[in-house]
Amino acid sequence: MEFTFTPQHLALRRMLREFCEEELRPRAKQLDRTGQPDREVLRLMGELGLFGVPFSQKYGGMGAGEVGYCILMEELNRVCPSTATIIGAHIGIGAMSLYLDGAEALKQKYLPDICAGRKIAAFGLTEPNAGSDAAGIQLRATPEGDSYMLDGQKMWITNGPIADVVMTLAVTDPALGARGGATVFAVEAQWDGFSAGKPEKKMGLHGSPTSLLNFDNVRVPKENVVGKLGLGFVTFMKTLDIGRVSLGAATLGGAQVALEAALRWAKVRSQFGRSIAHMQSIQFMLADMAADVEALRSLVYRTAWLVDNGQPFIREAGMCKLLGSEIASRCIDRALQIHGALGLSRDFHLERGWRDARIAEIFEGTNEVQRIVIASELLQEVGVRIRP
Amino acid sequence: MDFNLSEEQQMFRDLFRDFAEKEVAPVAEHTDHTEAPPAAVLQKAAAQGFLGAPFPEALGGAAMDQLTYCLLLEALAQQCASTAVTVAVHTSLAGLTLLEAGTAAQKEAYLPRLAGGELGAFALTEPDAGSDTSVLQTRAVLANGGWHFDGVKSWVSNGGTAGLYLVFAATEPGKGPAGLSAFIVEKSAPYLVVGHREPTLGLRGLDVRTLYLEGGPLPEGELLGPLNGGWALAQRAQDRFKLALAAVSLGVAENALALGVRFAVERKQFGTAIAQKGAIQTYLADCATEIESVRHLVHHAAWLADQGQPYARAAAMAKYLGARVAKDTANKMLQVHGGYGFSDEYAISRVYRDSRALKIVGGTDEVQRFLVAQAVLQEAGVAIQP
Amino acid sequence: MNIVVILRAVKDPAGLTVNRKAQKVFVNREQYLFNPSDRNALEAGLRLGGRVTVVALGGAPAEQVLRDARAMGAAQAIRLPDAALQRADAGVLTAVFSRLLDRLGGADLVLAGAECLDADLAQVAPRLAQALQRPFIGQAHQLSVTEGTLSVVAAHGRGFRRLEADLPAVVAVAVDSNKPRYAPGQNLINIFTDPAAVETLTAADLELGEAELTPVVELRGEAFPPEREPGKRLDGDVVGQLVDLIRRA
Repeated sequence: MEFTFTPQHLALRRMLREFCEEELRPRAKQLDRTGQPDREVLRLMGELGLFGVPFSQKYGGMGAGEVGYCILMEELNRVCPSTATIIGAHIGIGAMSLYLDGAEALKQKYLPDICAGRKIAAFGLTEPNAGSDAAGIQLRATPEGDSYMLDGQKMWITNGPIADVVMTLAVTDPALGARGGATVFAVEAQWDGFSAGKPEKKMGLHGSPTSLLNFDNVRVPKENVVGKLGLGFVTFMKTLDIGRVSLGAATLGGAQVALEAALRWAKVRSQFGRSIAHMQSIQFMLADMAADVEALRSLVYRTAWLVDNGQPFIREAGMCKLLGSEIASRCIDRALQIHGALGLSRDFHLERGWRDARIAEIFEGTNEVQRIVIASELLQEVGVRIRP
Repeated sequence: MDFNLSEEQQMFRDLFRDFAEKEVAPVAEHTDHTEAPPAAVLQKAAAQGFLGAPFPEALGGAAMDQLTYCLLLEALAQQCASTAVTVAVHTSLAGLTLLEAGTAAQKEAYLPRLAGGELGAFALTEPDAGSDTSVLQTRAVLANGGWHFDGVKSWVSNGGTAGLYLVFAATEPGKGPAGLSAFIVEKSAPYLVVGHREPTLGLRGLDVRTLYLEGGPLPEGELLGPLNGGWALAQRAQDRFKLALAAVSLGVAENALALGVRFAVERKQFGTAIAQKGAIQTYLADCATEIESVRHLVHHAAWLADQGQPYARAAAMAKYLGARVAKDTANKMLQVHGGYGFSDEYAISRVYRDSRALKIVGGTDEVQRFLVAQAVLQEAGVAIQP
Repeated sequence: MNIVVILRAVKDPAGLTVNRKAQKVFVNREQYLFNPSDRNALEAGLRLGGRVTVVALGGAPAEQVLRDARAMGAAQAIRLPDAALQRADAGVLTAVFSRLLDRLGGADLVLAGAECLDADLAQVAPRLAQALQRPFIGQAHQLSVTEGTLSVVAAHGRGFRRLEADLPAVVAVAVDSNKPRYAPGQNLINIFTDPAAVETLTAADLELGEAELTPVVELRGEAFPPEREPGKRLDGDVVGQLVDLIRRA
């Protein structure tokens, strides 16, 4: 067994820690207030290669693997969950579907720009009638000459308003539907007929724009089919599986920063004549938080290691997302409690962290869906098949 | 034993619900968004006698018992937690403290004003005195026939919207709790400066402020209760406030559950309404069960208060459990909403933010648990300190 | 233009607790930092646009600093790992670095940080200049080179002055005088993967003898500086009292 990070990954983490503290932290509050992504910081991130961390250097990626990508997501989410979400939608699911299943020519066409941050990617799955249950996809792709015409709507698309290329799941064979009749297309935002709606108003993640996408007969050339015709649903599910690992890593960052904040405050805050660090009710919260963080850290990086070593990881990935989102919410909630009224203040960062963290229990498959998926795998091993 | 509300209580409950649905519900979203208490709704509440609910009729009140007053807060909180807490601060902290400790002249001068719609505030907490209010830094000194103040109060609810403030200050510095006194200060007092509006996670419609007290004079007669007797007044006010917040928590939890149930029935996934899913049913069952236990704690604590029996421990329990259940229920019902729960378009995200504040305002969970433990251990003959 | 930048890895003060009562510095977490002004020196060197070689003494922490520097853009890195050099004083270091420069075939410009987070003696750069018979400029904030002439804006008293020197020269760069670049991630991954990214040289390689390696400074003990007197709070007529105090001072 080997539980240490490589020097490459440690160096990457050092750089990211400094970058996030120096460049991102001063902007995080502003991002939450204005809801506008900070183009300058995104440009800087592009220069440092942060838009292509897990991808091969062959395509202009950083070549840091899933472990490196998890380090990125942990460090970003430690300071600014909105920015982490932009990157998560861009790399973790948007570009990842192309990277996993795209034809070589299509990868060469888009990945270098995606890795450099010149093009922002998004992942177009959810529709008004297809949330956790993706089988209800209605966006249609109709062949016309050497193209497909895409018509329909996507909703709740992270990066929707800022995306340059959207990996879009569309029905190519209505008779088969999601299972065998849906295909992924790489759709450029500049093409006629494509438009993004206004950013949604959300409880948290204000700096990560989410919107509706309209496809009004968008002409997409056939070479922009990602993966095999009809197997788009498989591509997307595979993508979501791997995306859950880095999502777990992001939640780890949220839990970690909560623990750090709680420790700092417990040390300096005095009530009843002594530092609250001396009160057992506080100590127990800190101990529980630390245990949570440590367990999550082990799970996330072990799962990332499974991915990098070509071993099965799907069940663990679901657990990363499930456990991670709940641990992050719990840790941030405890940190907020330890801070008392200050925790409730929007002048202080915990309140933002608390709002931002909550969505992780919901998006990319609600935790209920994760439980169903994990349970169905477990039960399958003992010969029981279940339906949601 | 009789678990039924009296006919009068039932009648009031219906009246409160009707008022809350017609008047409070339509502006709840707006109140959160604009971060200002709904002034017009509060005026209408005053006209109905709701801002002097437990005050005697002779002083402009509606002479309701504590249980009925709790039903009012619950009904308001079912629509808008900010509005309910605004009324709770005004009534339990400011009004009833005046009623308890005021001289006949003070009561006649101030209570009708409060009942008539002028809000009351309670300035106790300081930057370094949150849960531990025995170490107040604010000073009051008697000089040239008046009280002169020097200090800062933080997290004062209704701080910018009140007309009347109960201010706690050290009149004998160094004596800790035994040297505190309470004062009645008008908003117009030139030495009272309303400061920073604290932007908050939840309860955004509650006007929370920093107050600066610099100078005087406050006429000598505006001392409330005995000189150096402020600590006991503050303690009893906080007991009342706990009970009020427990009632608010109950309303918030009920609101969350109602929103969750409505969504679960309408939302279809995998071919059926999600209300048909076992996991969702578990959430609903847990929340409904917990809400009922809070209801009984709240009603019991209020009943004890109405009977003139000690109710501080019951109030602490109700406040602690109530806040926890409100937050847990809102959390679970937000989960039932899925992605919609994260959108500001649905009320559950506001209810969730509001519920979070309840575990901190009016004494944190940790403080309530300490008080309950203290009472439990006292019966075993053991005295404990925080 | 060949530029050599001298780097140091220093103990991170965030991992230390200074306890005056116990007259001790407690190490809570032993971790190392790229000495801040050395990073400014490296950044200054990289901005001048020459070929930058970085050098450092020590073990793993030095290796890390050198690799970070390579990832930031330095073309070559040399580490001197000798245990004997751990106790080196400024005299020994001067000898080591001047011999190293000989071996590298000289340098047009030697840069170092103007201050060091640990001992902060700030001796090596000026003594090296002295030994090499080259001009020295300290507390440099901006550097530029035109046709073999170095132009430097350096802190002077409360302001700045512009100085010029012929190359080759030695310059100590002030902390916070520039914003060091972040190492691009791809470089980090590649440099930290490459086993040959940092070369090592021993004292023997540099043909340094016993005499040159023997420090003349000996550490006899460490003590805290005397405590500062607490300030006095003035009440009442503050201005009057202040004027009075200043008059009497």
